[in-house]
Amino acid sequence: MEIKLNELNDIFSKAFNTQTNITADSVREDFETWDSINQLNLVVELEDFYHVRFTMDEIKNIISVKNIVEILKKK
Amino acid sequence: MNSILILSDVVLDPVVKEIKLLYPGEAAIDAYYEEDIITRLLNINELDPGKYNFLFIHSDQVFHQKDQLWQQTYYNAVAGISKSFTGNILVSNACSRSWKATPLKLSLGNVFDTGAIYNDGFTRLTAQPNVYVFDFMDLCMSLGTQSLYNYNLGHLYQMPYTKPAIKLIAGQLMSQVSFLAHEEKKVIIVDCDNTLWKGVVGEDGADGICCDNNAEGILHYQLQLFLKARKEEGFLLCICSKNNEADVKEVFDKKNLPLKWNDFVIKKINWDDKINNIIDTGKELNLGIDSFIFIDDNLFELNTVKEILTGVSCIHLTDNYVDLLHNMNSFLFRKRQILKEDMEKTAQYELEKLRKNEAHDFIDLDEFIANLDISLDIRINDTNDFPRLAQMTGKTNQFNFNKHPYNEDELAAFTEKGRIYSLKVSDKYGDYGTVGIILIAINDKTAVMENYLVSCRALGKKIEYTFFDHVVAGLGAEGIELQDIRFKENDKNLPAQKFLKSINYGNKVK
Repeated sequence: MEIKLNELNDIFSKAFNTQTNITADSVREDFETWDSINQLNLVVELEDFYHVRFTMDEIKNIISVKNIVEILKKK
Repeated sequence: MNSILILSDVVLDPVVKEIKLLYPGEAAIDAYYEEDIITRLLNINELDPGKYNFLFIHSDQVFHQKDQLWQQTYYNAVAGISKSFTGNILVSNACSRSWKATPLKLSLGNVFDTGAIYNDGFTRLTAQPNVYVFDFMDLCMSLGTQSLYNYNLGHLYQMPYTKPAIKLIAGQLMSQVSFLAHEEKKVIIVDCDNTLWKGVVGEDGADGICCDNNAEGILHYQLQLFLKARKEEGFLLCICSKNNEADVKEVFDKKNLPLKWNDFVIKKINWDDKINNIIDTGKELNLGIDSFIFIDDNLFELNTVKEILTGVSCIHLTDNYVDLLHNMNSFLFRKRQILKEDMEKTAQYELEKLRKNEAHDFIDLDEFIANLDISLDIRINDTNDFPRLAQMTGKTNQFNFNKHPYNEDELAAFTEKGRIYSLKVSDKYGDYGTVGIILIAINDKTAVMENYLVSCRALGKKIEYTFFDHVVAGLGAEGIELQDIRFKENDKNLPAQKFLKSINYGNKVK
């Protein structure tokens, strides 16, 4: 699966309900808005956009853009 | 603006977020999540529930399995709240997943213990005047549990739904809130061509239109079945169609359609614009057009109505079956509650119309008729009239002494033993055409009235009395006595029955 950074940024913006500017190196600590509710929103939007379902371990590892790309690539 | 309090045993923040996104400004929402929802319910006063006009209570018992004892306590807690809460309460019917292996012979389906949805507690609960079902199971059915639930998310975040499910829950909640906050719809107005049936009756003829259980007509057939069911739940059905009324009537007479001509309380079948026809329908029914739903296949008509009569809910009938299913599911067609009286609405309305007509008779009908300048043209055995007369014997129902269709040859044969009187009528507004027929069999100095028909468009102006008197008086002048009137009562010829009762010829009727 090819993951485009701009698509991923749109998903972040939608999930966090605010305009985000992610980079390939963005991590959870970079965002004030990346709390547990927005973690949930992010997972919901990612699953919906890429038509995937994450395992519980994968959900726990969604803490950086790098991880997200890695997990999605394996799907 | 509606204000909604949500109490739930799963996290519904994504649903609230979705509502704010899709329905901006429509509702103020506060949502509280508590896995022990019963305790939350018992302490609802902490949340100042008087601030809200809707309370949505959602215990997802598909996700959190509960036993029957728990359910009883839960339902009792909600029932307790319903007595003091002044707004409406929506209670989700997401019921327990049964972990028992269900014996196949008894299977109600392995996933849902359907007994649990409609057990005594839940039924008693929704019998409270302000408690309504939030049909979560319907969402499960339309999306499928596999696509609706995300158990991994559920166990990590207490939010067990997928994005499509979140959208559906948000949509259904807002539709239901809007439905309960407004007056119910009462009237469904439908177009005919390419709506009640496929085809254009003015072009294709009554035989050329299609409405049956086969591929081509199925969409229209299903719509008719759907409308018939709504009628039985208390909706009034009306027609608004640009057509000749006789053409449309012919379709109902000829085709065995799910809906019958008399299922429609008001029929505006003419070439006027639909705006005025809908306004007139409202006046005649004495109902606000805000309670109307209008179904048409023609976008021009729909958009005109939508723009000018903003209260009317417009539904576009496309040739896509999925759209039909979607529309049929709309809250527009729902009733809060269905009572016995609702199921008899159309019949009640018909009675009311009869009463009105009768009142009319006594007040100003004579004056009204005198003002019409009606003139009658009565002919005997005029073969030019036979095609129309033959058609009338087949088509006329309301004022028809014996439903017995004659063809032209049979009419010609009848003249050998008697007379066929045909009636043409006109008034100051125009020509009615041939609207009446009396068949008199004559045997020397006695006569039998074999049949008497008047087309319904000529009724209500006492023409039927004048025609009858003229024929009987004419026979009397020739020294012929009317001995018998042949009459067969059926469920359609009520106007003819009323006529007979009123003319005092009872002893001659056979």
